[in-house]
Amino acid sequence: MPLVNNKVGDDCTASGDKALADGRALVDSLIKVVACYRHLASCVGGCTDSLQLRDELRQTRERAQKLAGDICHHLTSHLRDKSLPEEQRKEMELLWVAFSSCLELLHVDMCKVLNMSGIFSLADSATLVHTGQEGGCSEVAARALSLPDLNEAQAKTLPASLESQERSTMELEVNQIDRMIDDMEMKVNVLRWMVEPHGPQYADPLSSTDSASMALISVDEEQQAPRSQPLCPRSHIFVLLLLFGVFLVAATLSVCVFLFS
Amino acid sequence: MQDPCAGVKSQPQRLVITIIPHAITGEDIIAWLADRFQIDPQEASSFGSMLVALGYIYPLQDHKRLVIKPDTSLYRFQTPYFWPTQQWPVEDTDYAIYLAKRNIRKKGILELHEQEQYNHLHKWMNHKWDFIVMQAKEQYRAAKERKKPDRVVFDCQERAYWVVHRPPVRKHSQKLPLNNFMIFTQQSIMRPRVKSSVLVKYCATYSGHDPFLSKCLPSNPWLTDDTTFWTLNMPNVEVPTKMRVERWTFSFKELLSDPRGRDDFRLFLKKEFSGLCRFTTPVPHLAVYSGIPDPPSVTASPSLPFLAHTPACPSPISVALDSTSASERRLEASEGESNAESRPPDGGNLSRSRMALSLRRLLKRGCSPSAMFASLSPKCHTAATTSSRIQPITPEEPSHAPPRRIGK
Repeated sequence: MPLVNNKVGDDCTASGDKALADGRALVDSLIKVVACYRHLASCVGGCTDSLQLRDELRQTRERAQKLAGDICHHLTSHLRDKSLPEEQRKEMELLWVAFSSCLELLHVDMCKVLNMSGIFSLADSATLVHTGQEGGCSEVAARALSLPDLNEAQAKTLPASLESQERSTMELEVNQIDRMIDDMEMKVNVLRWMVEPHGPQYADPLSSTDSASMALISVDEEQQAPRSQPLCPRSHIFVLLLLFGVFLVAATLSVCVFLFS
Repeated sequence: MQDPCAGVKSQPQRLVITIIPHAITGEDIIAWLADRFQIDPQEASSFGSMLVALGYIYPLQDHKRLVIKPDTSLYRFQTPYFWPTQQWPVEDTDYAIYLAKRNIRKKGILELHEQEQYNHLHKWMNHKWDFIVMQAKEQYRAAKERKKPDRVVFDCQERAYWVVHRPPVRKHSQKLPLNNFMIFTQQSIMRPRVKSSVLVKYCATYSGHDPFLSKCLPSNPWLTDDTTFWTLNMPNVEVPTKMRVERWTFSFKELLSDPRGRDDFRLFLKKEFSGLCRFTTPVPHLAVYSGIPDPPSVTASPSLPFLAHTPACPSPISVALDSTSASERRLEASEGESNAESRPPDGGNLSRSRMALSLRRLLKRGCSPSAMFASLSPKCHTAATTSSRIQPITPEEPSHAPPRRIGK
């Protein structure tokens, strides 16, 4: 009876699958953090720019860098492993492409924040642009940091650093990400154009779609002329029905009064 | 413009039950610009339209038309993140993410041009499409964490940014007059094409020097971690590689575009002309043949180099005169006269073709490229008269600059 070494094979596959799952979870987290960072970065220089926003940006950036370091180490070690099965290698390469794209997005946003924070100083709030936004982005930052409430994070850190120190720290972080991107290119040779994605071309609509805010934007999009109908069609119909009901009631009452008088 | 007293008057924008502040009307913007810069309303309107077209201000109604209207149409200032001032590159990845987000929000109902762009981006950025869809979903979810008015403002800002940088196709472009179409097709036919034979010859010549099409020694640094190839082909390396020197023989352009080649050529000319030649860097190939045996006079411009006429490397003008028969010279002279009378602008072309002929004769006389270049490098010991190919000592590989980081 030949020796069957399935257990060893299964263990290798299982560990490979676990490594893949870990990598995927890390990359998903980084994508989430980078998406949140973009929202925060879009507020810099606007009327909602504040010390709190800058601190939230710093915390989000630190979280992103930590995740990036972990992912880089994880994917590099597995992709340089010659014994990795072909299927798992393809999945790792897919994660690698997603990771490098995410890192480039983060690098661009960090450069923009560095540039804008130098131009728009918080010491002179009159220079901040009136963009129409009023609320903060604490909820977005809390989502990036995976915290239920950002007050918890704020209790731990204080935005005590001066602007110049913050800028120099940011420059170091930008250079660090730049070096990470360069190291990635040198260490692992992944042919990006050979990677085949799994997902569909069109993203499925998410479960809870934001129909309310979509309607608000649709009002602007569908009108080519200056607005003459400020209400959406649905509200218009409701008002008409209401008026019709009132008219019916009034007509009934007047008939009753006429009959019984 | 934002000054509460002296700036443009701002008002809230009402959207059903949502109120968004900091909206300004077109007529107020134009009036402010006219007053601030002391210009007439027409010019102020043009200036205002430029601000909108560039993306500093965006319209809240009729968002596709980037002009300022002198009425109560509303506008708002764009957030600095989307300003064009810093000239940050507009990435297709960002546009793909934006379209994917819009596709999610509008449940698959995109405008025609957006649909076309989406399909096109999906085709050529297919390798990172999973990332694009995931990032779009995460940005969408992050936006939902914000308050509704802020979410609406961000969506408007983003939409305005992409209208500036990826404008929708104009409707009237579909109704091109027939005349324009005919002119366009005629010009396409008349446009010069590259001969396939020229292309084939080019590819055949350079294929051996392409590390991806042929073998690359010691190893291809793009495929391995070994950077010896780049080290051996640094711009000012002491000993050039065999393939590099061979590449110099292809054309003068190859020789002079390589700094090492330029140095060797300079050295050759110094040796041959005993220091009478001076190159103007960085354009050494514009040196002038004086055609006279005497060195240039003291009053000659020091920046204009003169290559003296010597038996070893004679001036092309002298070679042309010596090699051309008397009948040819008479013909060329008569052509020149008639051309000078009838078509003065073509005189330049005729003299250039004569110079090309002179250079060809010069090369035939024995100054063949390989023979000449073989003696350039002090490291290359060749029998220039017997062999047309260089036989260098070291079997190194051609030069290529290290690649820049891609993916930015």
